[in-house]
Amino acid sequence: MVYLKEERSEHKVPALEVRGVTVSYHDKPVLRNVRFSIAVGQLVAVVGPNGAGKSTLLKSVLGLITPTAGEVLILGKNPESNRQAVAYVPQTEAVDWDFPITVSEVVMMGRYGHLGYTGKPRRSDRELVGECLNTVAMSDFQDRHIRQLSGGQQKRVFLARALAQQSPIMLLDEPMAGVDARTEEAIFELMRQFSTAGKTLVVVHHDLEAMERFDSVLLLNQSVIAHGPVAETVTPENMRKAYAGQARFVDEAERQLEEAPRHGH
Amino acid sequence: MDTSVFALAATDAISWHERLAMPFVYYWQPLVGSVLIGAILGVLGCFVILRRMALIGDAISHAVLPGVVVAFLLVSTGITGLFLGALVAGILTAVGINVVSRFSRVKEDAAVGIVFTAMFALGVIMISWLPAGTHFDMKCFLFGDPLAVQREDLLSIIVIAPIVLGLIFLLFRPLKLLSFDPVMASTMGFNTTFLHYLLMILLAGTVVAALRSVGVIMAVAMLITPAAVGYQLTNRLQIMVGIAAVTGAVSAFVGMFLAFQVDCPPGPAMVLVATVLFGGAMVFAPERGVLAERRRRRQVHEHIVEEDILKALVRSVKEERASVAELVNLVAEGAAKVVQQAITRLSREGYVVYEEGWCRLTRAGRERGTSLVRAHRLWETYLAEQNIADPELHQMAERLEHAHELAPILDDALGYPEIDPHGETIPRAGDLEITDRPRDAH
Repeated sequence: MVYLKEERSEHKVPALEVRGVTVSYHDKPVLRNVRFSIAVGQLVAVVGPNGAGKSTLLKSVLGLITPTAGEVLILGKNPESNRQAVAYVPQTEAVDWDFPITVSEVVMMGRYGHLGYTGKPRRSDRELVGECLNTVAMSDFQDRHIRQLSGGQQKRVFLARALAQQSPIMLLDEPMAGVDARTEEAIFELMRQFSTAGKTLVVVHHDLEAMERFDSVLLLNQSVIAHGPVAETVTPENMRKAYAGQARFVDEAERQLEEAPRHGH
Repeated sequence: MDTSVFALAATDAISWHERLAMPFVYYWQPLVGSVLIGAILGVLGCFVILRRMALIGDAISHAVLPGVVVAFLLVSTGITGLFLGALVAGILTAVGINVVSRFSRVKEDAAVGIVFTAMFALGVIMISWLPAGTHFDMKCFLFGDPLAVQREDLLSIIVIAPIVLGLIFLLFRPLKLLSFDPVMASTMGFNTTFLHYLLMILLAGTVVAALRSVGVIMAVAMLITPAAVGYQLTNRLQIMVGIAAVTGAVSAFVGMFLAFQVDCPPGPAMVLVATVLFGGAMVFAPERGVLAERRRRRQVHEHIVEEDILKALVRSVKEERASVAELVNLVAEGAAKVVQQAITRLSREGYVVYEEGWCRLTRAGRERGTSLVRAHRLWETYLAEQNIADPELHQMAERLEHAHELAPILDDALGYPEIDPHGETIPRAGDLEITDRPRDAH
């Protein structure tokens, strides 16, 4: 009984918990008191206008920046002590496609975190890389240079790399940017497959069309506008708040405060 | 004789002209030293150019000057002091560049310019503070003098080579990850700051060891050029590093050898050999070379001319045969000679029979020609759906039809249309005949 109880309570720990996170650059807040939690196995979209702080949120979750206030918990621990728990899929534009590297080498990089500074890949690592390539249907291309791939194939390679990290949580930065409908469909299928297998996926998404394919949506504009099932979150009221809301006036006021001296008293 | 690295009193007495009169093997110490330096700089250079830090490499190399001078003032002799001085100066430069680009508005390239010129200027002023009687050879600092490499320099190179190469071998994967995807490296818990400064330290150390041999300016060349040769020739980092090391070593060896043959200073000769090797890689590289690119383009052009001929033959009414002159007229992109060559290839491959100036399609040729017409009309249908109108419509289809492996996918996506936007029948896959209505527009 005790064992069962423990297991259940362990399952109650959210995959990701963000507790009142505020991040400021040069005293200008980018995220204000962001607070939400995501349960294990969810496929979640993070949506918001440009400058809403989506990538800052990703960076905080990845432990790349320390919040000015608040904290991030990955499976109940802070990101620094739980590095291998989060896998990151970068935007296609952030990748150097001329780098001398083959498809299977990119996927093998997913194992580096487990190998440490001086470890060498073992047979089990190579087998895992093979399986990951197989999952995204890229086995036939494993010795190709990454430049010799189509846009959709390039995306799949980086999904395979995240898979090879064997992390319970995946963060994806705009995985659908610049792909055709066919590729988008394939990526959605893979993401759903990962989430069914128990992984938690947090996807920064720019498109408001395909919202119903996610378990829940986090509407962000500096702070959390709404978070929950698509039907309750993506309402005209919330969208207006997120895309044309009060934040714009706050920004304007802050810009004035920063640039012009105050008039009178 | 002064023991300092740059007080070249002893060697100044005889110029390199006179020294070159000695037999080549007499200078085995400089030779071994330069070859090793060439190899290490080549290996380090791979990470420098992949991280787009060529400018920082340049900066670190120049900025070791004040460090070297301070070390000289404090300890005056001994290679260890020089190394420490150079390392401190190198780290200060790297940190300084970071601080300036982070806390000011200027971007990194400008920050590099600000910091390293300041360090260099500081070094030049410090030279003037050196006690009377010491001679600091600025020319040697900048341009090196391989023939002046002595036992002590060789020893320092022999000590530093295994340290640099060993660390790079040991940390190869984290360094590769840092160069390819620094964000991922940090998210995985690698200390990217440590790895970055480690590279800078190895660079500063190697530059000090290389000073006597190639000097600062040549060190930068030997850092970048051999690595660029590797980058041009391969798609694998391991192989790139190997090629860079070999190119660096070969450039040093051949440069030294040529210097003796044609009587010129050896340092610049080494750099020029590396430059020639890079030029060769740029032109002749199997995949990324200029020639390979031109060959690829020519093949595409030839392919297009061949297919245009087949299409013209399929559509010509007179029993699917045409004279060469007619074909030259019909094939827009082909000069007479190009068309003639294309016909020769087509007949060799069994698509046409060519007799006495006349071309006739074989069954295989008719099949291929029909599939081209099909691809062309499918593309026209597709482009019309994208709201593209004539004449662009026809011109684009004229080019895109050569990507005919896409035809089935296109057909599927369009829902198997039978008629193209010009009202012409789209032949089915495998059809041998096309039913052409008289066209008024084209």
